Amino acid sequence: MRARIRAGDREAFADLYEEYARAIYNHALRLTGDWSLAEEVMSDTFLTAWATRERLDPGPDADAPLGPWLYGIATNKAHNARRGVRRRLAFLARQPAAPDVDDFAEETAGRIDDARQLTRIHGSLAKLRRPERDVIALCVWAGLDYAQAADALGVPVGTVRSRLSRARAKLQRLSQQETPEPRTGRGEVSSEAAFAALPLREETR
Amino acid sequence: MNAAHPSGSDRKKAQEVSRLLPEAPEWDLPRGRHRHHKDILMQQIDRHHESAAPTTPPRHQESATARRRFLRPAVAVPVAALALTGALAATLTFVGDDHGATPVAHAPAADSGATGLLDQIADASLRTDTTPVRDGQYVYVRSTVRSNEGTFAGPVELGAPHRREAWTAQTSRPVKSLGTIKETGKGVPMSGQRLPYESADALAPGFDRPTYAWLASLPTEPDQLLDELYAGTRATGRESRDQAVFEKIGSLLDETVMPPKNAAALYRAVARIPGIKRIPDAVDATGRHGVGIARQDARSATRSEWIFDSESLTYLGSRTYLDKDGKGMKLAGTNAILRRTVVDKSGAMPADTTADS
Repeated sequence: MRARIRAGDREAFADLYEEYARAIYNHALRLTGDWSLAEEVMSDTFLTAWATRERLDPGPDADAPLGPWLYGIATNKAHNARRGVRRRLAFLARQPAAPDVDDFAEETAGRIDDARQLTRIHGSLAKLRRPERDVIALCVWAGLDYAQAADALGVPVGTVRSRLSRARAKLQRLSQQETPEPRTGRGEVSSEAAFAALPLREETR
Repeated sequence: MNAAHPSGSDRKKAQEVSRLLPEAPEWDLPRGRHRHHKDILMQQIDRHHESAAPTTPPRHQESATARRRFLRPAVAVPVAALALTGALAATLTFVGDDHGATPVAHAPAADSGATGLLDQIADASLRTDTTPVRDGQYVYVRSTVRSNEGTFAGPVELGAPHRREAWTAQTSRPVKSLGTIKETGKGVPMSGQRLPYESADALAPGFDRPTYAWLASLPTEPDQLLDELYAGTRATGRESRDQAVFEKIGSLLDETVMPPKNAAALYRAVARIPGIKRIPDAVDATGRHGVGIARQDARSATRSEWIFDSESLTYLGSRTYLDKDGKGMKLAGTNAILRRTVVDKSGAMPADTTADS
């Protein structure tokens, strides 16, 4: 598959799209928290994969999954797209937190539920720094292992590991702060209700 | 940290973290949208395979393929362009239908120091030499960027400076390949890799793709130019329209090359936006000091500054401040333009580039 992708094989790219488009779209949604941006990032990811196919590492294992490659491109794209609007987002966050009605005016009630859920997912990362958010999105939600996440981000495996540890410690601390009853042990479990209590709605778009 | 962690334990750790997070549902695009994006990908591949010379980049075969619009074109189209216009001065703009919006009455600028300075900057830009950019070339801009890496909810936290290089396609035709961006630095995903910027729909030169030729076509009479800028800019959120136009002009000054007379007109137009201030000492992302032009927007709790060399009055970079919590403005992003030139190919380095620059 790797060799066919590198060679620009049409069917290989068709298969690649079928296999990964949905996963990449979801990854982009979690990182951007924005439907339009996520769609744009997903489309751009595959076009960029095509344009940079010859740079794909042939690797020692010709059958190694291509996910890390695509996730890496998508993470970069999401980062760039997000950075452009971040300044604006930061002050949009000061507005009453609710889905932008204009955006959903033509949508169904189900769409608004989706918007709330997306806000919640994206917002659960609100207290993490960007490098930690990337690693969470890759290792926890996209299901990559550390080596694959390291590959996707172009960083050493140890960096992925330490970012994830930091993210975990922070999330644990937060869940303890937000939960009234004292926790025993290392507080490895937090209820979703505790998260719902966090100010997750800071960034609504 | 045990370096020889087996991956089973990695998995366990990831699971532990997942328990601290809400469960992520799987969303999907409507099938039609997937078909649309897959078609775009396949057309790109087909154009490449059909071309006689396999080495010809696909962007030269822009065809008459029917361009289907996004469901939400007003938002979706400019996004790729946004990424190109740079992190700091970028402004969400809309290519939608309400461009006929009423321009705001142009009150005289509040600060005569700012007006005087902008006049000098305009005069200085008229004295610069700019080689016209030809259709098909690329504008190359290298900059140092620091952006907010902090949390969404928490205070602003500036990341380490990193290097950004952007190659922006100058062709006058609508294109899908908008250019290439390479960002290098610690914490940048895919640091050091040149990645093309592709738009699903072809984008013509305009506010969201400010090519040299398009900038050259703008009115050089400041009032007329300002009318056009107000007509082409929509404020979002709490931002005032005046601020939106100020940011818009900032995005036009950032990763672009334009004829001196158009740069001068932009600066004279800025002087007519209410609330522009002169800052005696401002610093760019690499620590270069200069004089600043700023506009603070009370409604959206932001302030943007452009920094100019005190002697030559050339544009050095920008800074953006935010007040997220009502406790005062904090620096939220800054950049410094280090090189601005034209090259013949996307990804090509300027001829005089040394190995370490």
